[in-house]
Amino acid sequence: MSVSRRRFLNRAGFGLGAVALQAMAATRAPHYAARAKHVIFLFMDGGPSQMDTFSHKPRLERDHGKPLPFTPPVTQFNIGNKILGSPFRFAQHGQSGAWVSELFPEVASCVDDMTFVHSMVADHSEHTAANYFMHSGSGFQGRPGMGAWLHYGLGSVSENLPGYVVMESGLVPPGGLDLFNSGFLPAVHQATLFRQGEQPVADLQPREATGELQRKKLDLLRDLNRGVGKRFAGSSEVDAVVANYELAFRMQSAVPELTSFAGETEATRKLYGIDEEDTREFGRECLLARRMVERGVRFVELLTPFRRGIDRWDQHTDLEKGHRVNAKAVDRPIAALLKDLKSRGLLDETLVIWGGEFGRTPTAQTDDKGSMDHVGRDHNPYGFTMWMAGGGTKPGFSYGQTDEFGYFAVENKVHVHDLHATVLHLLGLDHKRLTYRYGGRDMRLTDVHGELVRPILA
Amino acid sequence: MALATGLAAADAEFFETRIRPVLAGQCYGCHSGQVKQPMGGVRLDGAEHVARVVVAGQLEESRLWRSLTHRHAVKMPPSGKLQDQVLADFQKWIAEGAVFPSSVGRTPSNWAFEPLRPGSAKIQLPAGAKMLDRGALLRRVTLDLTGLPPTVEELKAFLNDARPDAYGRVVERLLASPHYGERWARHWLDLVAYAETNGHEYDNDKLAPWRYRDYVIRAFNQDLPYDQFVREHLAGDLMKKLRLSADGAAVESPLATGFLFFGEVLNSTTDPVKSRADDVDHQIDVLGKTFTGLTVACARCHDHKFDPIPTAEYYGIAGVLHSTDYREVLLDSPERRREVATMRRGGVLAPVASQVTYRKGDSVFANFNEGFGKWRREGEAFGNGPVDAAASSLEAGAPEFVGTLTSPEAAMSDQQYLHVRISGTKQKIEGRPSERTPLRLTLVCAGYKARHVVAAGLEPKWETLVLVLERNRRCYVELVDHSREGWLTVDEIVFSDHATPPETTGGATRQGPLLSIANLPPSQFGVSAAEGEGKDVRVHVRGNVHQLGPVAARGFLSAVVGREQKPVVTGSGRAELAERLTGPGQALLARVMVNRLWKHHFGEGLVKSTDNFGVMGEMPRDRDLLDGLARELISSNWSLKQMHRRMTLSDYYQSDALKPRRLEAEAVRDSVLAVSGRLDPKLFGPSITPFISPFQNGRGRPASGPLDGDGRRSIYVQIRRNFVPPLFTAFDYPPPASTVGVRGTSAVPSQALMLLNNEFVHAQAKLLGGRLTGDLNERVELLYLKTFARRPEPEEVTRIAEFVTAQQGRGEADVWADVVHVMWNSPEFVYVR
Repeated sequence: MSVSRRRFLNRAGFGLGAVALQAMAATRAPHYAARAKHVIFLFMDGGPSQMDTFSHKPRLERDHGKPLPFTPPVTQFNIGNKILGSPFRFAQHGQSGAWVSELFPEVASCVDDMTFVHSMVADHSEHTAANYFMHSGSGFQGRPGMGAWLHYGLGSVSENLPGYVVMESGLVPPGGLDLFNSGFLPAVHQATLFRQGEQPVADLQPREATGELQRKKLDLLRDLNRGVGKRFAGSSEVDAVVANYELAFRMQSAVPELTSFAGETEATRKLYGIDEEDTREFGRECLLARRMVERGVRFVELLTPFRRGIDRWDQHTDLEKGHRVNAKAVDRPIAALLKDLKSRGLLDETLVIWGGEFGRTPTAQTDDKGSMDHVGRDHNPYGFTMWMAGGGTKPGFSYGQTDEFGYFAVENKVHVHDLHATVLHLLGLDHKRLTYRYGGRDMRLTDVHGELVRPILA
Repeated sequence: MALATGLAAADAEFFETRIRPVLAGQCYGCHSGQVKQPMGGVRLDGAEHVARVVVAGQLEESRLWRSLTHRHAVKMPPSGKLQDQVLADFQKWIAEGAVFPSSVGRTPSNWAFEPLRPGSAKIQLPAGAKMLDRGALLRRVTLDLTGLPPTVEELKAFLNDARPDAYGRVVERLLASPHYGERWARHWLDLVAYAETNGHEYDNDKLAPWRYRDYVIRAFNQDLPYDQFVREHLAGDLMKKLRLSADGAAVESPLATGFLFFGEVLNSTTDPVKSRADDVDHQIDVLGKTFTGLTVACARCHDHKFDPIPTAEYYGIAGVLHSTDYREVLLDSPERRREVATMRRGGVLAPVASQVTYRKGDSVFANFNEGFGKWRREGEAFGNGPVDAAASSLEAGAPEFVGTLTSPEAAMSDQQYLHVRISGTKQKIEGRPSERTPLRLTLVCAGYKARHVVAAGLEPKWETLVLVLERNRRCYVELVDHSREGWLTVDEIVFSDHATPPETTGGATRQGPLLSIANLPPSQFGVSAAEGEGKDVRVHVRGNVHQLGPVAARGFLSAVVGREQKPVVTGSGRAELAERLTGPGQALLARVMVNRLWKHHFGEGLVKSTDNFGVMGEMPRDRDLLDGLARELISSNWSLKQMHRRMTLSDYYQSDALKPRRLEAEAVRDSVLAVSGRLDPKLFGPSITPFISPFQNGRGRPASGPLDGDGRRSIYVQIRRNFVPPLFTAFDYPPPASTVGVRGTSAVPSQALMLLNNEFVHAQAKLLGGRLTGDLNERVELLYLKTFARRPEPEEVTRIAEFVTAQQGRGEADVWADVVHVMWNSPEFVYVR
């Protein structure tokens, strides 16, 4: 790769100067010393239930079937107030004694590296607005998300790979690809989408019959561009366009190198569950995430895989079945990612975040007749659990609490804006100073909100 | 405190970003008017209060500074010293004069609110600038005015035209081209954040948004005076004399009001009151920036921090928009309507008289026993009233009539079922019924066309909807007949607690012979604003819809249209708003618009921040020039074409002093189509569904349209919020979220990858490669003229010959396709000199 790169560069007649680096969003200094260099966001689209995964609420089992002793807020489907005990067994794990349900046996073995936030609060009860909100701090469409802001604030470390990547396995969350756009930030900060399959990135695969032919065409382009400098009177912007072809050429070969697991050991494949039906997609995403982090990608977001008949983590019905299937798809790959990052010394500089756009109600959502045969839970942005690991967070730590039913955050509330402020902080950015002038205002990821959550910092 | 200069603006900005937030966060709990008795009698929430503890420019004389640095008996804040960085900000603030801008009741002192200055506008040629060569000039002006590259014939004609006014003739030819309207309509669509779907979860289609797009194209092409264009945007449905289409058959001016409805629509909000307020906020944002270059929406939660826009005036505009509804309307002109009405026969049809036994738990929404009541009728289909207690689109006697019947909006209960008794022509429907289905009953909830019911056949039958998200929302029901061949009849609409419909007897169809009216002229539907109940709204305290403050009188910004605004008595107030903006507000209106034209011709506005003429915007580079051009715009009866002439005929425009500019996404795609020969110059009409690649997933994913968009210009490619074509996105197509007067012009590798590897680009290169004829020299010359609007240099011909020779053995068409493809990847193709 590097041979053809140099060859192209030399032939192209310009070095990889400031112009090219600028085009790729060069690294920029943080506001202060960073704890983490990378973020891996495991986005659990649909809203996993906190009281069935990481937030143990014995009261629900005790009062199963009884009405809540208070009037619940308006939820998406206005489901009434019958309490639903968790169908999953909980146990304590690790030195820290964190409670984890049977859904996450593998992740349970990592709890001493994790920080749980049991008191998350979001603003929206409906998926799309909540998804936009979790990503961009605004419930509306067309705003830049966390990944775009970090890329804008810090630039990319990788020379040949995009700095902000989203991986999907056939399921894009409500709100669509706009969740990963750069909004009002320049287009260079938008996410690059990686799919499963032979061609993971759009428009990256040359269409020429041979690599040789494409190189000949690029050579011709370089020669025909000789007069461009004169015609455009040395415009730096036009120079950047010319330089981009060199970068594009490198990206064409860097991505196949990235997505090939040829250099990975059998043990690693096994760890991630790459060769097993249930964990194939997410295992691959997690392993790719580690490889991206190794190569300097700044922000990687992983989306939950598609499962026929299961609507993401959004179990309004058949909670038990749906959550089992979903957890099975991600549990092992996530544990593998945490262990692999740690053993390679990358966990310290990589912030891993797990969570959905909101949590779920402690109350039962039933069919119209009130039958519990296919019971589920409705959306709940008033109190839910997310967890983080690495990247300067406090290991083996739990923060905040919901009420004994798991409905409302009551202790040490962490609003999504606070989460955003904290993520930026860990990457060395002050959320109040990371601004972009748009529409007459200095816009921020946290709008006019957000408090740093210091207690969860290591 | 005056804020007339850029320097003061910078001070104000410093204060607002670094000082005020600290004061508000750390001090106002004890030291402001928010508390009954400020501690120690010290207040920090106004210039006059601050003056008691701060001596501008004198740090050591300032009690506040000594207190903050803990060198005073009172050490502040009590929780501990501020961070060093914050203290440094206070030091700088006090040392540089302690500017404390008042945010309430500020007098309009910004230059943008002053009258236009007298004097004539001179567009100066910068020293040392030279005239551009003719080919480059033709390419520049052609792309500028039409968004398409010059053809080889146009290029040759211009290069061979020795007449002194050859260039002036070119400008006239381009301004008369219908492509001019397409180009400039696209610029305009950026301002109104044009989109054809609702975005959000399901990305549902909006109703015929393209009619607005076509309206704008026609308006530019016929050089509609800009003030009238603005009046029509605000009140095109309310004019005493509606402006009609060129053939007189359809109304034109109401279509302009469609710009209010391009915002994103939440499809299942849990707080419809807030959603409605958010919709209005988007309208205010777009309206404020587009016409007046002001960020009015900043005043939703508090008085505008920098500009003289009090929150009360924000809610004055909000009242106008809350009093405005959205309706699908028949576009037939009054004359056409009269003509159609004479063809009505009446009486003969197939109603469905029936006896329904209602139960407890049934709520009758409508059974048409007593006429249409407050239902609104559009078009002829539903005639003058029910027949045999049914609303039928055959009342007028012939299936050819079209129209709608719309119920008043009402708050819905918690009832879970909607039963509709419906009959009519059976339709072929792909997938579920949608707003594109011509014959339907639609339940519209919180502005969202949620659910549709269609007839199963000519026998009346109950159809049942299970309501989920629609419960407890504000809804209305619409009967729609857009069909020239069919009809529908509805006799019962019942909300119910019961899953089964009520018992019904009788009601057999008695379909008489249908009349056929062969020469009925076609009718069309479009979206228009409509007058709702005219009412002032209350201020939402801190933007919270559930915390209401004082009533705000409907009106517009007093800084723009003056303090003497008569109260709006009847109607929404849109008509008054239109008059005030184009009357007393015309100086700003004209400045903002000439600046937009300048930006598109010269690359950068005279005011760089085209959408912000407020204090936080940029100062004009040449105020006299801007004001002079604004006055010329007004005195030319607001002719935009006249202003284009003024600018493009200037020496400056024809010189090499302009910076190179990258083509917009649409112009890149259109240039590819034009050069390849695939371009279909057809104007107007419903949009082409975009090509959807395997990389574009998500809810509401439409079936893909053709890869080449049928060769239509990009303005006709449908803008689906959640499925914007990747080619557009890569080349900085702005997400339709707010007014964008200046698009990004990034130069990123994804653009190179797009032009190198995208299948559309390859397919078009192949198309042209296969069409080339003649010898090598002829081919290369033609390609250079088409692609770069110049003849090739000898070494370029040699180099291409070398490539072609080396590729011998492959198909000739393929090799030339490669040459074309390479040329399209040159910056010379995507940049304009």
